[in-house]
Order: sequence, then C-alpha cells, then structure tokens
Amino acid sequence: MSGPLLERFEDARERLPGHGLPWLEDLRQGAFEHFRATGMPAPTDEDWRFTNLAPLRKHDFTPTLLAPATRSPERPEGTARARIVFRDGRFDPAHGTPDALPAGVSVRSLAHVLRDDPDRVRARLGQIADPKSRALWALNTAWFEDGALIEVAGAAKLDAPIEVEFLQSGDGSKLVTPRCLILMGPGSRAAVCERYRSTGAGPYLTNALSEAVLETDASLVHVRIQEESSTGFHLGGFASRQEAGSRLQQISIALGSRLSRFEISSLLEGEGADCALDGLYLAKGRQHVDHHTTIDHAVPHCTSRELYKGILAGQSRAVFHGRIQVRPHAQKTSASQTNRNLVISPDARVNTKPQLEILNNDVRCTHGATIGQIEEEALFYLQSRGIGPEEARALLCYAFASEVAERIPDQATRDWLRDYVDRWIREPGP
Amino acid sequence: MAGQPLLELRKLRARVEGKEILKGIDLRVEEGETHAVMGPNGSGKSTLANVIAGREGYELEGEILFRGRNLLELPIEERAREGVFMAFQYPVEIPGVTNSYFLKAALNAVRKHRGEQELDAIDFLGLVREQAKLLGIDASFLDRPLNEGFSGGEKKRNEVLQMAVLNPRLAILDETDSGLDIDALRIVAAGINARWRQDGAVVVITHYQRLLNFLVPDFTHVLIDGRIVRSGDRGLAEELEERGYGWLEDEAASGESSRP
Ligand SMILES: Nc1ncnc2c1ncn2[C@@H]1O[C@H](COP(=O)(O)OP(=O)(O)OP(=O)(O)O)[C@@H](O)[C@H]1O
Ligand SMILES: [Mg+2]
Repeated sequence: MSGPLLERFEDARERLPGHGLPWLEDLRQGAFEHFRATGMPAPTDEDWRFTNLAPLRKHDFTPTLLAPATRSPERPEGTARARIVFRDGRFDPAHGTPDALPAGVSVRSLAHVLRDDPDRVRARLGQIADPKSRALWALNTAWFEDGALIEVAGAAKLDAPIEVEFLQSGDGSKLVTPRCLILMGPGSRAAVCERYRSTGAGPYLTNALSEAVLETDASLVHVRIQEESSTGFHLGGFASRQEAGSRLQQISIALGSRLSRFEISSLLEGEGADCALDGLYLAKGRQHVDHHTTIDHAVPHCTSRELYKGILAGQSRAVFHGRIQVRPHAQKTSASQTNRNLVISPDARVNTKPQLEILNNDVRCTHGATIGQIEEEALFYLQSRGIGPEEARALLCYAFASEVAERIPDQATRDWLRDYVDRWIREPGP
Repeated sequence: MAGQPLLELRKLRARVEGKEILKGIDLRVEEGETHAVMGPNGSGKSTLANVIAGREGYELEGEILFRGRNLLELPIEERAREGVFMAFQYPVEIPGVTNSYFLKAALNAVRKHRGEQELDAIDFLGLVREQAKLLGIDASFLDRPLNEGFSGGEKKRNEVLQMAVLNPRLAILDETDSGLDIDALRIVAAGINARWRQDGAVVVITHYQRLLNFLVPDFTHVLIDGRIVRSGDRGLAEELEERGYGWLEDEAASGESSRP
C-alpha cells in the first residue's frame, strides 16, 4: 500500500493542515523521506517478527483528505463530559468543542491550532514521538490531518476524563491518520480517554499517534480504548516524556480490529518520575493484537511498572514485547514488567518477549510472563456452588481481566468494560 | 428410617489414572442424620466427597442416588442446585471475584432452580450480613476477593457461610473443623444442629473428636484404603480417638473387615 501513498503525498501536501509553516513542512518532509526509505515494517525487522502487515498490502488505503466525503450520521446524544469527536480523523464540527471546561484546560482541534495559533505547538509537535524512530510514526507525521490538542495548566481542576473520540466510517478504504498532543503543565492533573471506533463494516486503516509531555510534578491518566471494527486495521502509538516528579498512567484496552498494534515509547527524563503502563486485550476469531512497549530510564530515581493481560479465544494471536532501557547513570531505577495471558482456546497463540537493556548495577528490575488456562479447580469451586459453567467461565475471565480493569480510575468506563468483557466471553467466538 | 434415603451410595468405585481410590463404597444417609467419616490420610475421604459433589477426572462405577435421582447423570452445578453442598478441605482462592458477588450469583442460581424469586442486591446483602454476623465473620470479608489472603480459619468460616446462605439439603464438611478455633467450632455445630437436624443431613469428614463433641454423629464410618472397614455409632469415633487406626488397618489388610 505504500507505493500509491508516496506518489500522492506531493499532490496532497498543500491540503494538509499547517501547510506553509516552514517548521511543519520540514517535519513532514523529513518524516516522508524516512518512510520512503524504510517502507512499511516487515517481519525481517526484529521488532516486527511476530506481526506481519502483509494483509495491509491487499488494500489501497486512501488518506481521508483524498477520499470522497462520507456523510456524517446524526449528532449523538450530548454528554456532560468534555468531549471532542473526529470522523475519519477530522474534527467533527457537529460536536463542536467541549464547552464548560474548567479554567486552565483547553481541548482543541490540532488542525485549527495549526491554522490559527501554530506557535502553540511548534516546540512540541514531533519532538516527543520521533518520526525517524518508527516507520509508522513517520507515516503518521507525514500525513496526519487532525486530532486533539489538550493543554492543562497546574491550577486546573478536572473531575471527569477528557474524551477524545475517533469514529471511523469504514467507507472508502480510508487511511485515517489522527494525531494528538497532550501538554501537561507543571503540577497539572488530568485524565484523557482516547477511543477508536467504527460505525461501518468496510476495510480501513487507522494509523494514530499521540504525544504527551508531563512537566514537573504533572499527573496524567491516559486511557486508550481500541474498539475498531473487525474489518479495520489499527496501528497506534503513544510517546511520552516525563519531567521530574511527574506521574503517568497509560492504560491500553485493545478489543477490536482484525490486526492491531500499539507501540509505546516512554521517556523518563526527570528524577522521581513514575510511569505505569497497563493493558488489557481480548481477541477471538482470527484477530491479531500486538503491544510493543519501550521505557527509557534516562535519569536516576525513576520507577516504571507494566502489567499487560490478555484473554485469547478462537485462533487469535497476541504479541507482547516489553523493552526496558536503563542508561548507565540511571542508578536507583526500579522497573517491573508483567505479561499474563489467559488462553481459552487450543488454537490461540501468544508470543511474549521481555527485552531488558540494563547498563547500571544499582537497579531493581523484575519481569515475568505467563500463558495459562482457566483453572479447573476454580471452575469446579464455582460450579459446586450452583453457578453454571458459562457463568463460571465468564466470572473467571472477568476476574482475570479485572486486575487491569480496576486500575481505570473512571467508574463509568470501568462499568462499561465489565459489561463488555462479560458479553465478549459469552458470545460464541467464530 | 422409612422411605427413600437422602443419599445412597452403591458399590461406588473411583479410579484416577489407573489407580483405584474408592474401592466399592456403600452408604445410606437418611434425612435428619449426621454421619462422621474418619480415616487415615490418603484413605479416600476427600475423593468420596468430591465424587458426590461432581468433580471431574475420575473413572466411576456404581451409583450415587440423591433423593432417588442418579447424581452421576447431573453436572456439578445441577447437583448443587438440587441441594448437595461440599465444604472444601482446601477452599479455592479466586482473585478478582468478590465474595459477595460470587455468593449472590450462587444463591440466585440455586433460587432460580427452586423456582424462587432471585434476590436483589439489597435483600441479598441483608441475608448474607445476618448470616455472616451469626458466624462471627466481619462484614468487610464480603467485599474481599473470594478467599484470597484469607487465613486458614477464615476460609473455613467462609465455607460455612456459603453453606448457611445456600441452605443445601445435604452438607458434606471435609475437614471444616481443621483450622476453626473453639468458638467457631461451637457456633458452626450449633448452626448445623439447629438447621440440618430438622431436615437434610450432614456428613462430617474429620480427624478429630473435637467437633463431634458438639455435633454428635448418629453414625461413624471408618474409611481405610478406599473401603469403609467399619461403621458404628458415636462410640466408634471415641474409640478411634483413643486407639488410632492401626487395629482397623490390620483387620482390613487381613480381609476381616466388618460391615454393617
Ligand atoms: N487426581 C488425583 N490423581 C492422583 N491421585 C489422587 C488424585 N486424587 C486423589 N489421589 C490419591 O488418592 C488418595 C486419596 O486421596 P484423598 O484426598 O481422598 O485422601 P483423604 O482421605 O481425604 O486424605 P486426608 O486425610 O489427607 O485429607 C491419595 O493417595 C491421593 O494421593
Ligand atoms: Mg482429605
């Protein structure tokens, strides 16, 4: 699919947001050239050994910008929450911008900001997620059309999460390229929930990337719910930089898409920064779900923790790759990584791999991975109390998932996820 | 002892991976009776309880009749709904499922089967709190993950709580007394005497006379090497406490086992 994309870039670039800004032109051009040189990742790349993007080649995905417009469905019911919506990666004016935001919080369309107030993002955009570090991030940087810019200042008081919703139409074999930037000022606190969904049933590719900067003592909870349709492909990224004393909790809930990969790059560059990465993935049928994390302990006294759990049914395949780097002078680092998989079908497969690059002796680092089945003993216990086998399995699966689900601070999201898991487990998988 | 027994085992045999564990058990338990089953470690007591409750993985022969129905034809959960309850010797820890969520799911499954209305959260909590209080279980246990991090005694109390809430016809207690302190033992025995002496029956698997002082058995059976080698009244339990199993093991080995 990369051939046509390369040819079209020259024609399309004038229509991309921020056209005419020299710094952004340079950024996009550099990313474009990087992608042209590397092409789509292939299994020969060590980081892509277990995730083959060959199925993408059968499609000729067209960037939203070049595709015929898709009619927007009716405006859904409003919610009391701060919410911004993008359709096929472009700001949906029907939803407007979130109103009633507390002072010190701003949620805007990135394309609007590039048009009206580009200096706002100049120092940050593309500076956290290095386009040259990953082919897909280069592709995103060259092509991104829109996404949310979220800025939170120290004094702002936010109760509910800021919701950023990406709705894919599933029409016209689109390449949807959302880009978000989250700027957390010193001492600020916020929760952001990104959600990727589809309203249609055709093939499409989402190549999403979000960047976050947490300045001193900032605290961000970033929940990302990937619920793309079974005909969609989802390639996602999240890159963060954390200054001293900041706290990040990133939670990936990967439920949809026939093939998905989520790559995280977390840089701890200020002492005392703390980063917690959690993930829950459910896959059935022929779904393929991949999480690839990199945590870079660049300075002393930082902590990181990872917990990824997955339930695999049908002939699904899960991949987890967790890389932890501890640089030579980053003493007193503490890092832990856990990946647990519950395999409920004989044909599901898991590839899990830790990769520790520890260049310092004064470090506490633990990692572990398991691939297991539902415990017969637990099943018997529940059934011996009158609970039917289907109900018992659902209970045990939720019990497994709950360790991650319960870490979502927002009650409404937790309740939604509990119902989702419950339904998922009872539906006979293909 | 008229009519159909509550539980009847006929020539029950169980084998695992070619090893015979139960070697032909015959047992009748009538409504209102309390039976004690004693025997040395590894003699098959838990296997007996598990087979009645429906644990899978055994090759079985013989019959288990519960109120005239062949239990071997019923899946595990149906047996429970029909009123069979086994308090586990080693209750299972299930992180991620709260005690009360689990118990409510169980109770409503059982109630539904009995044609009773399912309880809503408020009625359920009322019931379970009351039972917990009677058993001296702190209400905070209800919100904790099922058995996770419970002490040995707390797990056993929790088994008894489940039994009290589910109110089965037949309760099989597999060494529930091990781990219970003396006060808990009294409370449990009093609860059982009050409830299961009326209708239903109790089978107590135990190594100790302790519980039997409060929960006086009508019959005592000695299980050795997969066979009931002797049955008697409460006196037999006392005799075992004094003499151990050696004399019965010798008899069993020489094939002179007495049968009731
Ligand atoms: N699933 C199994 N596979 C293999 N052996 C088993 C299995 N279950 C039970 N056994 C064996 O059967 C015998 C009886 O076990 P059981 O647990 O019934 O004994 P018990 O009388 O309850 O002992 P205790 O007093 O120690 O609780 C033991 O030798 C045990 O190792
Ligand atoms: Mg036992």
